[in-house]
Amino acid sequence: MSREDILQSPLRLPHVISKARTLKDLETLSNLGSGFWDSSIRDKRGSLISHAGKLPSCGPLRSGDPADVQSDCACEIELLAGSGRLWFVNPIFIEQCGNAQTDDEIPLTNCVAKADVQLPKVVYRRPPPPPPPLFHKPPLPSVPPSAPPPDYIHSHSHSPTLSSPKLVSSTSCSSEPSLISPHTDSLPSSNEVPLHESVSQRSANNLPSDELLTLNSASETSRADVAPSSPPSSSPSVEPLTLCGSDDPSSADAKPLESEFSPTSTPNSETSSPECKTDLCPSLSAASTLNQPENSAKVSPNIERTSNIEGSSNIEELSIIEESSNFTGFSNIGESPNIEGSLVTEDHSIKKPSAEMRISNSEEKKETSENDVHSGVSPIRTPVRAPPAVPKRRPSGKVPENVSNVLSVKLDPQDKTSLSSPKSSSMAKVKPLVKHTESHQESNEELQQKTVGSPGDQQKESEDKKKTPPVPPPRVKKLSSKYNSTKASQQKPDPKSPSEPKQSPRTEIHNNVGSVKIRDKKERSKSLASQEKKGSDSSLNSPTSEPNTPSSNPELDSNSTSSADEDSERPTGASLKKSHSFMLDRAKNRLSIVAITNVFSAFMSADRKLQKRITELAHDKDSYFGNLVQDYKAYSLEMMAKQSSSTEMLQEIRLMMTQLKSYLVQSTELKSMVDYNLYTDDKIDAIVEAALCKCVLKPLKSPIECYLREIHNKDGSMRLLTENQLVIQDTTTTELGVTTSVPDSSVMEKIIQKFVTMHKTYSPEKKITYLLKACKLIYDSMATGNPGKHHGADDFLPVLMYVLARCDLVALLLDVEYMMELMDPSLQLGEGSYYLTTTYGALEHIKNYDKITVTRQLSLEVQDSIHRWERRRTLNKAKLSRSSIQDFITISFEELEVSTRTLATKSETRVAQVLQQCAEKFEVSDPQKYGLYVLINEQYYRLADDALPQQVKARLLKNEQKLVFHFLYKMADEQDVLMKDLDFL
Amino acid sequence: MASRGSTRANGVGQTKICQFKLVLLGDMAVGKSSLVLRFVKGQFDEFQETTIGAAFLAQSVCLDDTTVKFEIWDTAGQERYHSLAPMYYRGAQAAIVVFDITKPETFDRAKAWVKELQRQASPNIVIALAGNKSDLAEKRMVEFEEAQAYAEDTSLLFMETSAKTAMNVNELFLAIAKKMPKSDAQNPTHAARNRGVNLQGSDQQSRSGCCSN
Repeated sequence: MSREDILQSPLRLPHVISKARTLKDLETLSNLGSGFWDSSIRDKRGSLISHAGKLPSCGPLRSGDPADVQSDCACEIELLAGSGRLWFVNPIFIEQCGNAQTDDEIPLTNCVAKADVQLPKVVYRRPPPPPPPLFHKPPLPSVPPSAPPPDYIHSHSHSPTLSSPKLVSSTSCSSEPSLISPHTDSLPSSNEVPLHESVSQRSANNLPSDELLTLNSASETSRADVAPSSPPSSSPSVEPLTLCGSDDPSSADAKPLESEFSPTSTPNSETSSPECKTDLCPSLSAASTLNQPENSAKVSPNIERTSNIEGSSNIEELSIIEESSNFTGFSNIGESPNIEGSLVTEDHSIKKPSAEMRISNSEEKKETSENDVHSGVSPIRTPVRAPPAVPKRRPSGKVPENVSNVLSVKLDPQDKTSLSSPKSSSMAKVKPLVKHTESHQESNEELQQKTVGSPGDQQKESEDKKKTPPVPPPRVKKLSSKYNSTKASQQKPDPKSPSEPKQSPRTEIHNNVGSVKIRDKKERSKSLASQEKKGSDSSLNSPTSEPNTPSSNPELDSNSTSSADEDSERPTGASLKKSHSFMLDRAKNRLSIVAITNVFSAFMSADRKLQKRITELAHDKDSYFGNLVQDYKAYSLEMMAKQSSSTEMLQEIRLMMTQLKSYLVQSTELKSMVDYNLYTDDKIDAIVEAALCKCVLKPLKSPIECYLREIHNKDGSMRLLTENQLVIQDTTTTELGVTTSVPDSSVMEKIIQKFVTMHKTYSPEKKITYLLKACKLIYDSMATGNPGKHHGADDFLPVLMYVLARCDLVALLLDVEYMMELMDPSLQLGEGSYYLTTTYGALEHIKNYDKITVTRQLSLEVQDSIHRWERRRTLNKAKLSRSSIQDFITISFEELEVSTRTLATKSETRVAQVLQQCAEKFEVSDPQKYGLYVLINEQYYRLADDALPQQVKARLLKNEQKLVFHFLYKMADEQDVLMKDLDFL
Repeated sequence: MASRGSTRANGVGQTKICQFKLVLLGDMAVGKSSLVLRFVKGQFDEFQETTIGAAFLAQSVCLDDTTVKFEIWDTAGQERYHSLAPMYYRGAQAAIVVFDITKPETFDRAKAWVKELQRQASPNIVIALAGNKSDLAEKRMVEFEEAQAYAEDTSLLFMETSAKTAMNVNELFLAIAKKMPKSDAQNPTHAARNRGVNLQGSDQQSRSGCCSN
């Protein structure tokens, strides 16, 4: 598998080539030979320099000799092998890698040596995922490339350099057939592996790309975007350049794409080659500037970057392997869209020869590249990615959440300007952080060089090449973040939309091809989005059935979470266009923060690993817990459709989570993976809670919101809110009771971004942190003109009312309910509880604004709601300790793992009742012929009708031999002995 | 978010940590926030939790072998937000109803709050009445005896306080802390941890607690 995985990742590079799909592209690639990578840059700008720049990044890691084409190719291939991660990381990654070469961890993805290091990780990770997405996972293992990569690399390097077809063959030979097929698809095209199909489809059709996207959540999104663009025409090659710049991991793919596209875009590429380099640098700088949102004209780009980082960090642990495998195939595609954006920017830069222009261009490029991702990819990707991404990315998101929480204190001061970036950096972990810092510095240097001129860019490129190898994990995150950002941008029409239009015009002016490609991408992205949605649905319902889709979903999820984080930061970044020096300062600050966060991440890694393992267990069809989770999710979807009360609906879900948690905490499945010397019960509880949020709430978030909307549409809450919102907007601040200053438009923008981020976050706990951040912004704005004054509720509540009346009240209503009901009831919220209550109260006040003026009272129902909520919280906690495994039993029909249902049973429920439920669930025609059995050590024991299944289960669970047992509903045999209780145990 | 269950775990030795929700009620501008800020700022920082604003504050005080942590929920005193108050005082174990001794209408409002609390809040809630701005004695419009008599009739703790001079501020909170049932079932989430600890009878000891200034 490892070899195959490796192969797949290399194959992805060929995919890029395959994306070109035109004979010209292939020819150009073949002609490029060792310079193949550079050639890709050529496609964008027509200059090999950019490629060289990329190659150096890889080269330094391996041999330090960029000139050596083979080594370069190998590096790239290896990167590709680690593809998923690498691609994502690429933009920042390259910079970081160059700086972080010293770091052992960083090299893993990029360098061959690093690949070796990665191999263990990848292999380790791969095993868990394989069950569901075997095909995808193998690709993910791209890590394996580390071992095989050298050989493969050589072969690949030769093939790519010689020609795209060769690359394909080499990749195919070295890697799995599937990988080959995609490449071949571009030429002959025919692959068994889904990835191949997706690639081929992407190249040929949008639909395939969608599938791929679903499979490769975050990376897929970017790839999908690229893919659409690439298939239609060679023009995508230009885009790859930007992508490369922005995303290091993508850069490798982008290069191939570029080479392929080069024929079409050659003229542009030539002119742009210097610019391309600059673009790459900008992209790198952009990555580094993640900390510097101001640089990008649009906030969204910065946010995206930050989110990417976060996502990458998260993804690294949980889904790097999977993503890598998935991404390898898709990464190329995803990169292409990005490349388009970059190309456009590059074109602009070219047109603007002046140094100043270049500087501005570089910034713009960064922005544009990001924007492009948003605009070009985001439109398409967001729809598609959003659904699938949620499930898979959530895991990654969880990890980031943890990190963010740890780091949150440090980050707070920076929250205004760049909260997301620090978090992201922290998420990235120590290694990533180092890289980021380096990357930032490099980016700054690059920016300066850009300002100076193209020569500097070349140098930068060489530096970048050297740097690229180290940062595999961040890459994945970055990819995801990009995707997220794109999604976020879509979701956040205001910030992103402007950027996109700007970019598109530029692209059109400079590159007609580029614009066309972008359009194609958008169209494709749309189609992909629809496909992804389908995929996401399927993943939710039957994650195990389709390995590919599930894997993609997690990635998407991770992206989504990151995007949420990014969103909060976006506004500031977008609004601010600061000087490079200013940006550098910020970057430095962020870097230092990052370093600190890295230290934390090192300590947190154990927790994250545990959380990841729990998440994997939840996705493992073969585990009891995995089945429970799937059943619960399916049950929740059924249940939600029938609920007419939002509170009851959410409570059902919370109860389900609580029961899952209580089961897992007591189960042998968890005990086998936890070192109880390291963790307190509270700690384990928190980790399990976070993991459950990822596996349960993340995939259910969209359906939950959907049903909540439906419920509130029916009960009139939405109408009341929107109507009274207008009334309150017209109410003077005096009438509201405001005695202090209110947030100005820029602060309002920040607050709204916090709420937008909050809305995208699936974790109730994390949502609350965003709520608190928004409240903090309100306090800060109140203090303007009167610093040092502490404002109590007399002052705060009116201002909160003023602010809420200018926000998306419906989203807030859903979020508040989501937080109140889905929050871990055992948590003492303290401050969070206060502001949650206050926000809820303000919303109710708005909802009943007219009535209140008459009656001066909220309805008794509303008055009671908080009381009931608090009672629930305390009661739930009491229940928590009691409710447990005992409340559920999982029963298979006839045979193990054929058809399994989890039934809610009370301790006093008798077998006869369970049999009745089973007959309905399994739709048995003659229920009297069936009996309930317990399978222990391959021995069947039939339970008597008056036996108590929960009692039996409790006895089995308490058994010191830790028996593996299963309940079965099967045809009864007259001769079976009816057991009232398993006394023999 | 600031306070997680673990932070309330029993401390070293015999120190028990009891956490209570305390709600502040009273008309606008009677000094609710100032009173609490004076209390919080006057304590040792180590027992102070950083909060994003003054509407919610957390502060711990020491009573012998027990640390009493107050989560202080401020409410908006404006009449127009009166309807939101139940959300805050529901579930609160303690309440401070504040009025301004220079403004008789705030005393009337305080009495209305007390009535509402006694009718709708949890039956065991500890209610304290605070006549704030005692430093403005020359402008006094509510006589001490009048308020004292009312408090006795309705079984309230009563003190005249000054957030400006800090007079009686810590004493008020310490008196509440002493009156809090520390081993009760009224606080189910903490019942297990607090079980067996009852400082009710040790008023003087508690007075000499580490935090009593």
